[in-house]
Amino acid sequence: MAIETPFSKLHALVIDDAQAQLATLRGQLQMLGLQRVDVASNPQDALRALKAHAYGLVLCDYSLGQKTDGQQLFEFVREGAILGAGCLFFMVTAENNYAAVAAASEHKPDAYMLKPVTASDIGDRLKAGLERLKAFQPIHGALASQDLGAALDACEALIAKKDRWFIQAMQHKGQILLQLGRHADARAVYQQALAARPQLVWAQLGLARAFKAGDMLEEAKQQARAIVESTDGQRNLAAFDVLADTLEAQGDTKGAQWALRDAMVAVPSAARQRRLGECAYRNNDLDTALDCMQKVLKATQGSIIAQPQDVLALAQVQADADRGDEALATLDKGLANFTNTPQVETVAHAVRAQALARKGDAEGAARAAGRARETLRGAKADFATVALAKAELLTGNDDAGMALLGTAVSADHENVRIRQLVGNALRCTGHEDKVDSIVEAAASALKARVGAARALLRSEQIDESLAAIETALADFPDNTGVLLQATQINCMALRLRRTVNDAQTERVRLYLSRLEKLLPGSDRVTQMQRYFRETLASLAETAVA
Amino acid sequence: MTAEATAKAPAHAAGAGTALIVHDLKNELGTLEDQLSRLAADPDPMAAGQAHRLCMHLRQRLVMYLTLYGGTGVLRAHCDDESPAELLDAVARRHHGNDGIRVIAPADAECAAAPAWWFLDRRLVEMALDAALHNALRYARSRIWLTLQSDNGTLVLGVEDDGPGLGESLAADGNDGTRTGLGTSLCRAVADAHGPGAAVHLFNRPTHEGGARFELRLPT
Repeated sequence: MAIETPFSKLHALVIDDAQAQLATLRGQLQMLGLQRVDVASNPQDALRALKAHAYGLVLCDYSLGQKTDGQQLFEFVREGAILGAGCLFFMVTAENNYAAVAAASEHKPDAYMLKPVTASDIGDRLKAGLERLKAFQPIHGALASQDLGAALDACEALIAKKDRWFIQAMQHKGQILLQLGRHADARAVYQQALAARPQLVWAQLGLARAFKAGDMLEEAKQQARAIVESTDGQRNLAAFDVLADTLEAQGDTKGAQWALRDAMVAVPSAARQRRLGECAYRNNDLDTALDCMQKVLKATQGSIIAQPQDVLALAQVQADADRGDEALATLDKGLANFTNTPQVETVAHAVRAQALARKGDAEGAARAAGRARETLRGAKADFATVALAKAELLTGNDDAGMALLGTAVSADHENVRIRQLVGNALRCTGHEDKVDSIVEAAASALKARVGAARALLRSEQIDESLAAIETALADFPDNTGVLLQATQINCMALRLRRTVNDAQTERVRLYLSRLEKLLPGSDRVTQMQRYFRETLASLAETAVA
Repeated sequence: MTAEATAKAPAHAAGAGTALIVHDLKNELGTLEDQLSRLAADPDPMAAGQAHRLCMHLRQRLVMYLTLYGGTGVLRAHCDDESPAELLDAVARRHHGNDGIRVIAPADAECAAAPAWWFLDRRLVEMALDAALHNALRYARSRIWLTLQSDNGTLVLGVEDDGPGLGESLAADGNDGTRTGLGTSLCRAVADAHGPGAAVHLFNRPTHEGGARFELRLPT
């Protein structure tokens, strides 16, 4: 009969490409009393298992002998929410790469275990890990039900105990305050942590994020730069990202590219190459973009992190760089490995049309452009729309191309990146002279509509103001600038009328959830969420009074 | 000051000292081989337990050796907030039942009076304590105590034994009771990696009858 231990009920997954090691680790877990231990010998099987079961423990070897290493697998399942907060993830690493792996990753597994691993090592880590999960359960639970207020209360309660979890509770508190849009309070938490221990990288990083969220861009830049220039932070990818985002927000897109380049040099992973490639492409630095995207494709082929978008991106850069043959070869070879969505097919047709046009095959280009046109599901501020616009411009349909680019800008007129892409599309198709007219005209038309709605609200024509902004939104449902304004105007209307209106609050919730999807992690969205929460609170107070 | 202090590995990294260590490890491996061959002929749980402990000790010493001499020559501490009480508890459990000597983790009251968390590199600190504990096991009569206290902003982790104390045995064997001083070098390097103010001390227990005390002192 199996012996009952505190770990008996834990369902575990062991991931290792070496069969002998797999058997050893499994045996060690069974020695600790775990009765259900699954095994996977490659990242693909591991991913399938993780999707199918709610594990309590994952024991994963760092080196999986494949394109995907243990850290990439971990980040993939953590970011994709495939791995729940209640699952412990232990990474087994060799001596020599532990430090490098630990320093570079923002998502740290619950433990790094150095080889050779013994059953008692695992038992110790498991005991500590389960105690931590228990201590943080109230916070995780509140976060899972998206109740940030309750999560903050739970943090305060844990901090008040001043026990073993004090520091980690502070870290959670800072993150929750940032999510709540309370960047000044978050700043204070991080500064308090740094006063206790100046070298805490997570607190330095939190401080940089809090500065950025509070629009203190210069301070954010200096703080992020200090991290990446320090011994402990020189491989901290999240700090490089904060630096790049801050520089971009300051309008220094070249500087942002340099920051991403430094990050890529520090950790030359596919994900970093991809980020740098995208940034270089927006900056119209085709050589860098080409180099990065080729490397991404090469590195991800056959891995769980491979995606058809990488094929499309490389083919698009090749087409822009007048390498039509290469673009066609990339599409033919690259897309064969994926089951492609209609969206991917549309872009593939559009890029093919561009490549054929650049090669002088007008007939083939027109045919491909036609197929792209037929399959495009409405023009938006996206890669597909811009790709088709370029195909139209290169196949002589200038009016259609310009119209698509105009729509792309209108669909998200405050989005600097889409404006960069549209500008580049005009430049690389020989319409440099039209950049201002197309981009500015589309943007200012939307600005005028938003301005008009705000003016109506100022003159207390609340219904008219709401109608104006809702119409703009109906025309461009994914326009983040309009969504933000619609949220704000609805909140202001609620405040002015001092009455709870369920339909209206539901509408605001819908806008905010759409914004969250369109602009993940955006400070402006966080601020708007805070404004909405405060609006609801003030309405509740009015109701009580 | 850099974010995490670093310490150079001992200067004799590739010299005669390391050859001596490997020589020692080779001899211990020979002993293990001998124990295993006798076990194969005559299975005996007691002897198996002994062989297992020797094997664990050998592994720990190899890890120490690699930590000191296998890297780039610089030992770095990657500090996280850790529970000192939990750490000592894990060390005590690992050595439980060693040669009939009791390894006693700090009592609850002692833990409650000490800091609940401290920034340290758990792996390195455990390795240093394992080394100290193994040394204590050679001399202890029946008990070893792991102790925990804070002293003016310094965390003090102690390993005490009820053996004869430092004296002639120390003079005869070298500074840590082994010929090569691997454990001592490791403990010093671990302390140094934790920054200025960190230190290791070995002395006779002042307030008890006999016995030696090892201390690892880690500043804030």
